[in-house]
Amino acid sequence: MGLSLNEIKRYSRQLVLPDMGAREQNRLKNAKVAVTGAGGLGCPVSTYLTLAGVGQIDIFDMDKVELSNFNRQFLYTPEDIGRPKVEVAAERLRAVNPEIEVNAIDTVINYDNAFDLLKGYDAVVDGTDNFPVRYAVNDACVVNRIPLFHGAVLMYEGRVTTIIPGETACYRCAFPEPPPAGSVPTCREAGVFGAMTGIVGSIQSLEAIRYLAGLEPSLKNTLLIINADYSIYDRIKLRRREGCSACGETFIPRPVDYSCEVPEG
Amino acid sequence: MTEDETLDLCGEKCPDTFVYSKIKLEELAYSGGGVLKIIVDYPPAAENIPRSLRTEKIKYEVLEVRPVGDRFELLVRAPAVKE
Repeated sequence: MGLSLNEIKRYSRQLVLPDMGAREQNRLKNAKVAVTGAGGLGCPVSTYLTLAGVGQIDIFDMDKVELSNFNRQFLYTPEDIGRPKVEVAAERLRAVNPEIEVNAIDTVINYDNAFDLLKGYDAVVDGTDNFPVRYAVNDACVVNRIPLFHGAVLMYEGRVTTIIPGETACYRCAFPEPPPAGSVPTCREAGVFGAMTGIVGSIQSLEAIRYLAGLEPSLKNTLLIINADYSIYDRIKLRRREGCSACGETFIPRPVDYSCEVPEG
Repeated sequence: MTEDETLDLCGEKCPDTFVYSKIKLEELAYSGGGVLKIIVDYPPAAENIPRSLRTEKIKYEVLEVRPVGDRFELLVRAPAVKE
């Protein structure tokens, strides 16, 4: 069924799972995924997609590696400081799994280009760290009908949801408006534990892998909230919102025009 | 009962014996079904393969497990499954 002996060995520990098999593995192999952000979420997300055998992974980011990344972004080493994150991440991931294609896309994502950049993918996994880009990614995925695996971390809280355009609530259904500028602490003020980005990114990637393999993701219409203070995992039911400017009857472009960083990391 | 295909897994250990069996059986199932003869020389595999097959979504039927010298031969029927 199109898997080499090498691939069967490499993926044997997931192929033995009752829900998985050559068919599911081949679906992963034929999938093309965009990861937006190569930071605290992007590192675990792109790593687990790579390990699982997703055939093409395109990583988008425009940042360079900095020393302050190292409490959570495990794909980089101090020698990489100053280099574009996507370039380093792609190098590392290709070394980990030479069977797949990893592309580094060193670019800004914004409301003007997101709709074109995020075209033709089987899934987008979002690891961006600010509201303008997050809403741009949501709207682009809704318009292009691409499943979106959302994740965010704010201080001690992580959030994850799975968005299937046309079927589930989108990010704008849950959060029609971004918080007022200045109401959310910036990355520097709020801080972030690396382990929390690891948890959230891992759940996002698991959802994406399940979906791409043809299995049912668990977080459709569900916002999973993880609280690191008390280890609370809360599930909030989401519903499609009538008149949603993104996934409602008529799409209305609504760029978020303030710069408010949140600590995805 | 005669087999349609044979898979010689001598030299392989668990869980690889199961992985290779599963992939081959899946292939058979999606191409109209049939009976696969699996040969193993790692004794635990003779028990582990049938047990692991029971947890699969596709309903495989273990027809026979027989020792042949220092090896085991397993006959497993894969049902025909549609894509």
